[in-house]
Amino acid sequence: MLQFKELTKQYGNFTALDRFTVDLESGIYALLGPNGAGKSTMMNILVGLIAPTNGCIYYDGTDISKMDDKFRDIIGYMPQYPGFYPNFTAMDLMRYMAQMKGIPRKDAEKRCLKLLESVNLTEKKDAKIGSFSGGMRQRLGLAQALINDPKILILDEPTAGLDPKERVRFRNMVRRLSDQITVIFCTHIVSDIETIAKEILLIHHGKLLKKAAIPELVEEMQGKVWEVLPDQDGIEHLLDEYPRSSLVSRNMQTAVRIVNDTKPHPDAVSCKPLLEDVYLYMFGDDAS
Amino acid sequence: MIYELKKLFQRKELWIVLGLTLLAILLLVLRDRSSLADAGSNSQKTAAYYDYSPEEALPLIERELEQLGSSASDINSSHYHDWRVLYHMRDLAKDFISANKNDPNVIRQMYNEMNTADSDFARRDLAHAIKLYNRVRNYKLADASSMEYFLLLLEQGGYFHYLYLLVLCTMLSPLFSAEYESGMYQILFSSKKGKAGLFRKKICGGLLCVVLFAFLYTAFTFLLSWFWHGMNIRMLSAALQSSALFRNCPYALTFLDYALLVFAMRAVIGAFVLALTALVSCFCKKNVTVFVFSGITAAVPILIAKLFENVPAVQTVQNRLGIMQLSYLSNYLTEYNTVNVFGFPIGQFLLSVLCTCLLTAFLLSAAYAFWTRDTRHRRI
Repeated sequence: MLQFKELTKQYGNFTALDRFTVDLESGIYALLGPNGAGKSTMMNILVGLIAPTNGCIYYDGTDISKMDDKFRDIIGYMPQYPGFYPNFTAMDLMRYMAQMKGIPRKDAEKRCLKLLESVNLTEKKDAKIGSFSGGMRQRLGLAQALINDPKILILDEPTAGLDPKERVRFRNMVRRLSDQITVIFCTHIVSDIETIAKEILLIHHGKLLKKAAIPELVEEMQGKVWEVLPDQDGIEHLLDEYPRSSLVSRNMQTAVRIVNDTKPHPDAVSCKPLLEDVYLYMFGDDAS
Repeated sequence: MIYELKKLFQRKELWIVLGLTLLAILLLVLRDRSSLADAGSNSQKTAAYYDYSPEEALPLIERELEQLGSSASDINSSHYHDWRVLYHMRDLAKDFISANKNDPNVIRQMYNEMNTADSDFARRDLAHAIKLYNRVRNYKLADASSMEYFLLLLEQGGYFHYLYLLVLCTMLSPLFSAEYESGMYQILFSSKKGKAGLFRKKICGGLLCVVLFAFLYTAFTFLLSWFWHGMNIRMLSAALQSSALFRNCPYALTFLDYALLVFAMRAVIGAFVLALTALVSCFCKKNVTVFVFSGITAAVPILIAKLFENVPAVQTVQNRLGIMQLSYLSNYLTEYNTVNVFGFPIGQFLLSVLCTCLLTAFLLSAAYAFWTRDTRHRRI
């Protein structure tokens, strides 16, 4: 189990992470929050890139700062925009990462090939990374993160740049892995986590606002999501008045979907909330 | 470690700079060669003496010089070139003969001296000189001439130093900064080996790179001498004193010993530049900044040396403590030093090497401390 206890990070007077406390077990935990909410700070502390100002992270009851390389040995990290060496081939990078993660040479070769196959890059194993598309780089990023069979997998915007087919493939792969390991999945694309996340962590201004399963979060939104079918002038007026609103298509017409505690318009009808509505509701103006 | 080398050598910038450096060296060498290659190239009469051994050539050259006249004023313009070349050849032959003791009487005398020598150093020195004599018996004057050229290339300062530094800085500056520029640092720092492991790998890779480059740079000098002056490889075992530059050298060294020393010192200087680059990389994440900062810092000692080349007191301090001065080995090898270490008068040279190594170790330790400081999860 991974426990964050009163984790705080300050940069001068700015508090990037404010007494962040949460317990994570195996499964996929999605980190949702607007830019600057503290997600990256939390992940950077977890992977050891920066030190916390206060607080601790425990893994199975042991402070990870005392575990040092033993902790790094059980994590796999895929940063937001993995920038690899353009002159390396995919296989070179995998071998190099295997070396950096202390995997014996005799096992490394097999493992590298297996992982490249699982992310559909076998044919490109000897191609230079410089020639890879954004999606191929993301897949390679995932493969390198998995090379040490991590117990904690940290994914920062992993599906950015993937086409729908690759996205589904990626989701399935992460879902399969999550039975035994803890996956921390940071994304802005709500649909990526909607079907696979065990729980959602909503972070804002460095604080954990809520930690709950998706049905629970959606349930709380009942009676707060509305749809109106106004005329053209009415659309502009509603979008201005309610920042937590979006345009949707209904029966060849444009409707305004509004997230609000009270009925925003006499013609508004209550509708079934989605996870995206939760995001809009929680982060208000920042989300837009 | 092999991947660190791969990262460095796969950069296009390095190959461009290497190519330009080679071109610059060739141009500089061609310029120097035009003055040196005069010897024996224009006159068939003088060229013939190069095929003789120095002992055979010396009396012939002296007789020729007598015929031409004893001073420059006696020489008319048509003979001036021959006179100049003959003078050069005579000095070369004299130096070679005295350095390699190619006279049986001198050798006999040396054996006697060796048996009666009162210090270990003198005995070792004489024994070595006798060994050298046995090796160089059949050498020609042409061989001595080509070695002179080889030495000239090895001892080249100024531009050659700057070019050496340029390649070193181009090669080493991305060693650390490339991880930041590519964004790989996030992945690497969170791997099992972490920052400390990565630092060790990079330093080992960098050192290997430096040694390899120092070797290739020295070997390139040798190739140039062989290609243009037909240098006889066997001449590497002749006494260093065969060259006018090292006439007063007190050590029983061969040309090969000298070339190896130059290679070793270039590697020591390379290690210093590596340490400097590592430290600068802790504060500058951009490759260009690291290149400029480390390049300027390493070039400053050469500039100071150039600025104070006529001030003996400053030169003495620089010879003892200077970093880049280590590649001017003639500073150390041509004068006796009063400080004896294990029976050898090598105090000043060792002090310089020690200073550079200590400074390198200090820079590396500082770089290591800065590089790994964030992995320690400090708690306030």
